[in-house]
Amino acid sequence: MGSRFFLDASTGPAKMALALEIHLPDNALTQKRSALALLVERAAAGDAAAFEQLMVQSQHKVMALSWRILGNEADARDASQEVFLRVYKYLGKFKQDQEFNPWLSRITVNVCRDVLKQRQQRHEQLQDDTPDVAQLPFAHEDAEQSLVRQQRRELIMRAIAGLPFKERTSIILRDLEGLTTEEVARILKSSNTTVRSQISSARRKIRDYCRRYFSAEQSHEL
Amino acid sequence: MNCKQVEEALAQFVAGELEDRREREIAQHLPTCVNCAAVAGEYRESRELLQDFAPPVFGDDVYAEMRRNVWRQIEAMPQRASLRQVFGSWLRPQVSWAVAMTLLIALSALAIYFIRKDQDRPVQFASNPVPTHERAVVNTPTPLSPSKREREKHQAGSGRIERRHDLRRAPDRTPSVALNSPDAKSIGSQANPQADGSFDPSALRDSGEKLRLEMQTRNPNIRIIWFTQKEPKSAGPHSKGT
Repeated sequence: MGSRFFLDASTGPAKMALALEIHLPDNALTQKRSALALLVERAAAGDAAAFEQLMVQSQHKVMALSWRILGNEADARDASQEVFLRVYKYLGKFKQDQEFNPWLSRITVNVCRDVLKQRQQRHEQLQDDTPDVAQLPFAHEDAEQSLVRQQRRELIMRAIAGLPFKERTSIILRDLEGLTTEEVARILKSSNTTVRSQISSARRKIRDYCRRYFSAEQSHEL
Repeated sequence: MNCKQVEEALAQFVAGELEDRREREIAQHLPTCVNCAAVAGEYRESRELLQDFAPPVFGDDVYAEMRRNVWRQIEAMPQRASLRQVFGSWLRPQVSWAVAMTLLIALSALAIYFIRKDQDRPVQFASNPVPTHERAVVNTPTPLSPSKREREKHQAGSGRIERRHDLRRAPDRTPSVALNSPDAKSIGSQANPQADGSFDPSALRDSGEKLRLEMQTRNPNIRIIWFTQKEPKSAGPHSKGT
């Protein structure tokens, strides 16, 4: 018995409903996981080609997570390189019975934390560079949809950059990476309760930041 | 539910993380409360912004350069042998045989050394008896032997000292037996030879002769001398006891 997916399409006044049932083999996901586990095992045994393939499969995920936490491309590239170096170094200690992706996410989070600490030591605090909401260009100054989207993205990026590291990481892993609270807790080596509290606090702060931005925008319009 | 409880749960409500019962309660409360509805709207808007927060699309060249840098740094890493490799090299046949033979030879040498050391140790419990005419030499002042003055002090009260004086003046013909001495048997046999050459002290007692036992301790300054003298059985009433 496979997994079922239903698509419901009701069309106009006739109210005709169409349901499409799709069966997927149960072992599809298992096969995918097994392929990754086999790749990891070969890479851990010293197979250079397997490690190269592992990097190709994981590079998008690692770069995206690094970029979201660090906020710029240069730091994300440096962090991603360091992540794969650590993977190469510690792959021998990776237990084959655990999943590879959460382990990779944990390494990525730890590397990003180190990069942020180095940045702070160099007095390059992103929070200090976070512009006040009034300085951000407002949407009404440019009607182009892509520019609006870019500005909204910058807005949320600034809001996230203003969060403490643990809240930032929690909300990125939960709301952007789509992991469950339990998975986030395992990656951050925290309890479920702590992660939920951090996520709630992060959402509240992002909401407050956005509200202040939109309030300032409205007052500027006036 | 009051507004405070609703506001605390609104972020989870918007994210769809609440259980059905609580979700229904909040959904029923929102139409009745303007403030809570406004806050829910703000949470929805920030969540939409968050969902739009997608990373930029990086080109393949960026990823390829990243992988090249990784391999470059891996090749530059010092090749450190793992513990397994280190121990594996120790267990190679030639090395293991050499180590085993070395240990065996060393242990054998130690064993031989200690065995020979035990065998060469001299027996210190007793020494050869000193001839009686040389007693004066033995009793010359030594760290542990009484001086002449002390001997004269105790002369009246100690028969042993008298005997020493007697020994100095006259040779002592009391046969003495030194324990563990190689000459013990020969001394005894001179006094009272037995048929098998052994020495019978009881024979001396019966004969009224003195028996003198000397034991040399490990301390060269200490010697135990035991005298025994018995009157012969046929002795008169004025004979002395031991």
